[in-house]
Amino acid sequence: MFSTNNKISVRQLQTLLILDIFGMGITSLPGKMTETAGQDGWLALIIGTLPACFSAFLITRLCSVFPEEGFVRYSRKLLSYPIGTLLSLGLVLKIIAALSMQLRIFSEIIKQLMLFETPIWLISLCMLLLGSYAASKGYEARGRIAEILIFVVFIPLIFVFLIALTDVDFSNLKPVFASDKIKLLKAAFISCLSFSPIEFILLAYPYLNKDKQKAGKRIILCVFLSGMILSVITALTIARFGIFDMLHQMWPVLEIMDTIDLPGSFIERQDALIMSFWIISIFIIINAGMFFSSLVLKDIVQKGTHTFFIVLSLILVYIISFIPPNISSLYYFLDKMNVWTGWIYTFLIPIVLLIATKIKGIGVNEDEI
Amino acid sequence: MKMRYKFFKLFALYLLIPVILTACYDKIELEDRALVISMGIDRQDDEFLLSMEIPKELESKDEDNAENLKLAASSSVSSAMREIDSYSGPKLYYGHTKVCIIGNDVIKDPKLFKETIDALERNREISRKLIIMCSDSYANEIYSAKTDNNIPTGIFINDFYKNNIKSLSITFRQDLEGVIKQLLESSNTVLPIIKNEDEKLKISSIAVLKNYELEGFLNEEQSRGFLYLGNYPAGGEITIPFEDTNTALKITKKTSHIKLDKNDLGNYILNCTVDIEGNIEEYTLSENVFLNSDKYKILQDEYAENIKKEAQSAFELIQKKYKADVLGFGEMLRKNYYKDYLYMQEDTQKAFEQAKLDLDVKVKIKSAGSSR
Repeated sequence: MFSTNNKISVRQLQTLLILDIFGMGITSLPGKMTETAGQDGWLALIIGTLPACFSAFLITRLCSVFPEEGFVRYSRKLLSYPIGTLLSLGLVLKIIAALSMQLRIFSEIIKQLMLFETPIWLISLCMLLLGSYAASKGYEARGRIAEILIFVVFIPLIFVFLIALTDVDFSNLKPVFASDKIKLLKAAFISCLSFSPIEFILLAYPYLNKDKQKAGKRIILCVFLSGMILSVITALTIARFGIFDMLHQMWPVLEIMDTIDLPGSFIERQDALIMSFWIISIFIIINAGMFFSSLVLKDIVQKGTHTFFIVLSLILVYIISFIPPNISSLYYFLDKMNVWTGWIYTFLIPIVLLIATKIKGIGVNEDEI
Repeated sequence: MKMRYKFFKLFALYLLIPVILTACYDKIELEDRALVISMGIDRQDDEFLLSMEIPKELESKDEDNAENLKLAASSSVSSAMREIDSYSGPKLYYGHTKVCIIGNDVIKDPKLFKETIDALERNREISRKLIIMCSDSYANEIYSAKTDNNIPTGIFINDFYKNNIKSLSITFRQDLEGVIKQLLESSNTVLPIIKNEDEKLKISSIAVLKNYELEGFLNEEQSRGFLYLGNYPAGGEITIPFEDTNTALKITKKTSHIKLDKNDLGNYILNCTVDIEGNIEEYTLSENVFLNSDKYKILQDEYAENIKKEAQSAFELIQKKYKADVLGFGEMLRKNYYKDYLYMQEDTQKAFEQAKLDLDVKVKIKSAGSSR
């Protein structure tokens, strides 16, 4: 039978991470990469994956020093109580802000592509309630959901891209490495920031069960794999549309299915097929965000129930999601937020905390990396 | 007590499911929905004249097509769409729209043409696989032509392409995605022409658009030549005189590949290879001459020469007369000679006009049929 100890296996954490990274970047990242690095966007993603792997290494190394303690606790221990609390509050704010933007993007896309008449507030509310409900069931439930949903996400995706392969022009990827090197590095930097779900490892690590010894390498491998999947999708999308058409579209990945001629197909709205996997990955992101924001809030306050903080986060996320007046300002906010804060909890804080462990003489268990 | 509470909780959830999972906001009954099958876009004075074909009953064979036509004139395509929507009972739905016919006046005006394509692209219901054609006169006139069994014009055109996609020789299927892609890459595109000839629909020939406006037409022979060159499916039959009689070859397979090269003098050469396979469909009643392999070879060479002539003539027309890069020369230059492309400051027009075509056509006769 299933255990109910609120612990997950490393495999479940890997699955959750892949879905989180995937859901966060899939709609906008290929377009953004092409916008910055042209046809070399897929290469920029490969380059950007490497620092993301390094970030995963830093975080797992830090977490292995405190395998059973949460972020709030060890940051207070290492950097003093007020600084630790401030850092934790910053993390909550970042998660809530990112979640609000993702929720709004989701609602805007659904409204524009599928439910033309349904108001955005209702789409957002439905998804938020669903994500919050899953979050309230604990981390173990999330792990199990992810193990089921990964197939629901990737089987249609593989199907779509296999069909798309019949109608792609790989010459659209030429000239390779011809774009400006500065632009390529800028795109790599942007892509690296889109791996922000890595920061969830800071909070998820204590929930790992006995496999913690192998966690480090496997998490890095999973970040690398996620980067490669995103890179392949970006390359196929460029090959399918060419850069000019791709730059012209808001969500090129979601458009792919609509432009494929399925042999003998009787389905008219084929785009719904590709939308289904993306909706599921957004659900995973929302319940991750709801779970971790409420978890950190509860650890900061050290009072109240998890459900109470989920409700609190829900209200905050819902309100913040309506702040951007339109979709372009929404992407503007998201881009700015990624650039200014994306690297703080994935690079800066883990490095600072690792230095603090050295200074305080708290050792890293080498076996656990 | 606890069991009963759980039961009521579950029961309440089941009751809620029909309400929350049926997307009530977007619910539209089929009878409240009007399916737009095709659209015609013309220019009338300074406005767009939109003709929308909305069949009341697709099965009805007695009804005249024209009765299903709704018209609206407005300053933009989208506002004309909205006007028709406002005055028609059921709500218009473009998810099943098959064809858009653009009138001659619209493709003559780059501003109107750009607005038209943009309006089609921005409409989320319209598929990027929408067939785009142009009329040699008014798009509106196309709808007065009679079709077999009075089927709607949009369905007729869609079926035409569906049934003949492998045997088209003087026209091709252009969709919204293709138009947008070509326009974004080079500002040029090609559109198949539809005509109303004595109340009969005729789909043949190609219109060449340069810098978003009509530059000229390719006649049937030139269209065939153009389709051999480009990456389009080309089929149909080629008939050439051979041994005092006309011999028809039915094309079963056509592949073409264009590669851009640069010679030692710095001139660009479009190396185009065209491979055609086909079967002899008609010769004359006589002994079975095609048992002779030499005749096969002679005939293959003659067909190849004929195709080469047509393709060369089409190329010269679009290169020298229309000066419209509709073969993707600019894109080939960007992909293969990026430094040159940057040096030209992305203006590849002059290089296209000076490029040479090196055409290699191979025809393979797979079978000569059999005399019973």
